Amino acid sequence: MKHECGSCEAVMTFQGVEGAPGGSLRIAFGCPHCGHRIFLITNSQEAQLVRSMGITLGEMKEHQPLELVRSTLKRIKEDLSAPSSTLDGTGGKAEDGGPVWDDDAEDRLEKAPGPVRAMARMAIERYAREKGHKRVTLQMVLKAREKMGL
Amino acid sequence: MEAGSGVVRQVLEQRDRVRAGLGRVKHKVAIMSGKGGVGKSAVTANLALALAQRGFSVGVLDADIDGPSIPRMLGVGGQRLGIEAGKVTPATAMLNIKVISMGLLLSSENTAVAWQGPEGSAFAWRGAMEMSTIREFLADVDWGALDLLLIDLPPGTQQLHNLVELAPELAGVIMVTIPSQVAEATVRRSMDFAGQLGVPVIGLVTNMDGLLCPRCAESVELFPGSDAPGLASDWPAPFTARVPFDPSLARCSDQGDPYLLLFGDSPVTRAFQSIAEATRGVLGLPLPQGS
Repeated sequence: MKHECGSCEAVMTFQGVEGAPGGSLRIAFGCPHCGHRIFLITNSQEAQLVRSMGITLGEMKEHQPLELVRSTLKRIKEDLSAPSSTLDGTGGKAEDGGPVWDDDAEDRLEKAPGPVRAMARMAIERYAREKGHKRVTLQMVLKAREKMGL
Repeated sequence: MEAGSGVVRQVLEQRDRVRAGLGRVKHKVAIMSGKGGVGKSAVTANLALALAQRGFSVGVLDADIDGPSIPRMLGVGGQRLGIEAGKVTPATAMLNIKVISMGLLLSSENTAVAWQGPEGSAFAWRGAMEMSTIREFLADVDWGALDLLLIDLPPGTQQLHNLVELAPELAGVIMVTIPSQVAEATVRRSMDFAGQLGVPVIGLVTNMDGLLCPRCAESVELFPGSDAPGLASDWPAPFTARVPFDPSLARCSDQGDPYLLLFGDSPVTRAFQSIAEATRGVLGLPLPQGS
């Protein structure tokens, strides 16, 4: 869609987009000759539909990962801005930091086969949290070993 | 309305990002049922484990935006996602299974999915948001080199349609049902829909097919009966499988424990191993060296 200046008969150029109350967009066009400006106000629902398709109207910015989900989802867990911590197969870090491992418990866990280790760490930490323990002891690991055959 | 934004260019860029994001994923397989409550996510999680046990690199994309259950089943609910080199690092479950799910983004497991947008008109754009979410999961997650990406679809057929548009090179779909004619009628519709989209059905899994009595090992029927042979006859799939019900599997799913590792010799474990082997065969995947 293009717009023509009624005085100059020149094609108007896009000048910018800004938000308007209620989720609408206010899109500005200007005549390159006389400077006359017009504004197009979008329907808020149509604007949202376009946004929901991941289309940016107006000034383009560099794409950010999960940009749309992160900017639109209410009650999101946290901002995904920092590098991930221990997601390399050594087990997930619980949101609360998780219980502290005794050295002998950690040593025993290290003897478990690699692929099973991450699973065992998560299961043991979950057990500790459920029981209200702030430390993971060797006894807990040995108990898990019996159950899981580590 | 163009408004200088290059809408067509943006759509093409979105497609390019999906293609690039999945560039090192050998096979994309959807798991669907058409009907809720048949244990589709449990099948997805345990199939992922069985494939990973065989040495394959596996990812799981939980496409059930409103009811994500994969994080709990694979024991990654507490993990925190991060961003590195412009990509989201997925959660890592046991056996190095990579996981992305809306459940990893919500503030808590009990939080409902709600989007910011104009009040009273969500019906008009909510479907687009869900499709965009799956697109971002495909494109913006660092999947790396995977042998298989399993995509756990929600009940219904809409997301299969979306998925085919986003990832047209989908290898196929595994249908999950239970031995109930109501469920199977829904699966028939899903199979018809997959056929219309040109997506091959590579397997049919009848879940919760009998309960093995823990005392006498006799099978007890949980549902009125199955027409699995008729279904398989009407809609031939390269493989069919049945998975009996085991309360321990339900417990493991609730707790995020790996049933297949804990109950290595159970009929359910054997069923999932055979499904993994059949899937491997249909896709023509060679067994990894050393497995």
